Amino acid sequence: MIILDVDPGIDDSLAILLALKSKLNIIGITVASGNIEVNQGSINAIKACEMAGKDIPVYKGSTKPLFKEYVDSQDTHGSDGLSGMYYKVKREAKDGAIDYILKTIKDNPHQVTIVALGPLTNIALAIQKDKETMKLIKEIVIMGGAAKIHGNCSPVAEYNFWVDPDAARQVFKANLPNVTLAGLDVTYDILFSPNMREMVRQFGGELAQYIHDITQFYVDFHWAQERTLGCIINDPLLVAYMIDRSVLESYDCHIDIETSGICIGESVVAFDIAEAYLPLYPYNAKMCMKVDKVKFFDIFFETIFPEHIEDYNLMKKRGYIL
Amino acid sequence: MRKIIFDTDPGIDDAYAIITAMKQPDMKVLGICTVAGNKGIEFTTTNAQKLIKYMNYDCKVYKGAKDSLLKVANDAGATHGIDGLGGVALDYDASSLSNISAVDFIINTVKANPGEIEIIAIGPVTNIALAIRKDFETMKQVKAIYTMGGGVYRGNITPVAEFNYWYDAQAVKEMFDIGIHVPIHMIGLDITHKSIVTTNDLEFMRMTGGDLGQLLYDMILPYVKSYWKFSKYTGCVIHDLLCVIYAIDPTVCPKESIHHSHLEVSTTGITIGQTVVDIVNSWKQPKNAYVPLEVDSNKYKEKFFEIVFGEEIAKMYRKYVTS
Repeated sequence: MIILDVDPGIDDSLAILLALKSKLNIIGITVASGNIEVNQGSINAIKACEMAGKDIPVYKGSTKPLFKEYVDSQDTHGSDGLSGMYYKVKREAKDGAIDYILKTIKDNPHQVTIVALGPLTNIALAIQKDKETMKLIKEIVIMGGAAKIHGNCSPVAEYNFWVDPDAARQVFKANLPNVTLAGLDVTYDILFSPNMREMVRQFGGELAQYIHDITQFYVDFHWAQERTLGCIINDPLLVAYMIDRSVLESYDCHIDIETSGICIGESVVAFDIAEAYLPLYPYNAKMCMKVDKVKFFDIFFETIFPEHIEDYNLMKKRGYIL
Repeated sequence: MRKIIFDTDPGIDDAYAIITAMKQPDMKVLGICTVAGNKGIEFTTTNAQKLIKYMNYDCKVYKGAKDSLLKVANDAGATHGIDGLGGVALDYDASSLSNISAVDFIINTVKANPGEIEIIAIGPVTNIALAIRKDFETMKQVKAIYTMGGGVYRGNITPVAEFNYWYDAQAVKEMFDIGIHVPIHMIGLDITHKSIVTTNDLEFMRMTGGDLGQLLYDMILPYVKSYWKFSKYTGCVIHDLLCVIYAIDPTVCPKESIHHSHLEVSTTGITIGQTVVDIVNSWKQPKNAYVPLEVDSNKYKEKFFEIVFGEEIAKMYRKYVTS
């Protein structure tokens, strides 16, 4: 049983799509303000559900970070979080993400996995409200942080943790069971290139067009901002990891989040901790540091476009992609 | 002849660095300024005097700051042995200690030699910051600063901070304020940990290096013990030595790996002492630091043997150890 906690967001939308097209048992989606504020983010989440042909409940959560002033990422994802497409959807999201998360865990102890792809505000609020129940999750898988690589909001900070560092800190301090995170150390490799994008468009159909449309702004941003040709799609990587654990290799670490000063939002990570330092830096998570990007894209395309897998393999063989 | 001022907290790796500079033909060490760090100021000052006497070198020691600007700790514990020089028996002359303070010595010397003085700062940089506070205009006339500290992707005293910079983060911040006027080369943990001096290297030094080789070997034993305990290295990282070797021959670091970048230092929170080096220029701020991220470890160690023990020993080192 999986709850997706998201802030869609272009890569979040692709992650929802991948999750719902896969065999994973996605039981609900909760939304927080992050890439885009929670109301628009919820519309975008519903749109992704519609594109996947699944009627998964969507719940609205936090409207802003715990303490820090809210900064969205319209500059990266477009004014609606989806390259300015402003989709109309057929239903409305429900309120009460926090209560939904807690009730689901209480009803299904040790069975619920949370896949958290946005700022950790909803998760922190759930911990604040009922920590004992949150400890009954099976697992939490988080997109965020940067250990041995430069950040994307400052030289040291990644967006999800930077936008709500206090929430992230509370989550890592809560001693939840089986915490795994994957940040920029591995997601920078997940480059959705213009060739891939064109291939998707040539596949044809509504779903292909949707993916092509929502990634346009993202491609433009990556080129303008950092001269990356193509866009980095962080969030689907975590979903692929839920489908096949061998996509990512993780290592025990101690992690804490800086909440002030010039390093605000930085994930401070220690690996290979000497015994003498363990009382000070106990292991509290696993961080992914190695990624099999070919395997990721195999899963991504096989799951979303099973009918086009021959063309995908041909493009791979001919060297247009990967 | 290059005119060098050392600013240091000896410290075992400091001793290696200072001795190497004293042996380098085109370097003249004008003075050794001391600071608290690896050990308290009385220990580090005496240790600097011991090195001068052992090397029979003509310069004086100038005592500097006994406390960091932001006092966070006392010293580096047992890493450098009880006395800071691994317990080796060395004596010193009281007369080698000047009555001029480190800060005044730095300012006066730079003033008398504008554009010619290079500072090799291998301890906490408290003295440098105090000199900048006292006379910013003169300090702009420093030719270059080589500083051991910081790290882009790793720390040692905390997951993100290196000991020297963590010990006095405020001083580091103030030092890099002159980085837009004076080239500051930061030799950080990213490269010092890529240039491990192994026990093979140390045994070779003991067997071929005569009295000096034996002394440097004896001195470093507690340091090796500490690296085994905390990092499971068969050897150690002689951070400060790399700083001096880089100052002598910067080609030990590939040119394309030296990032001319904007650098800031965290002075608060759990990241205190961390260097934030904007190597992808995301902040678009003035560049105030040269930060190498790669090093040719063998070339560095060969250079050390060549300078300190001579060309013949360096040849043997290449023949029997690195090849």
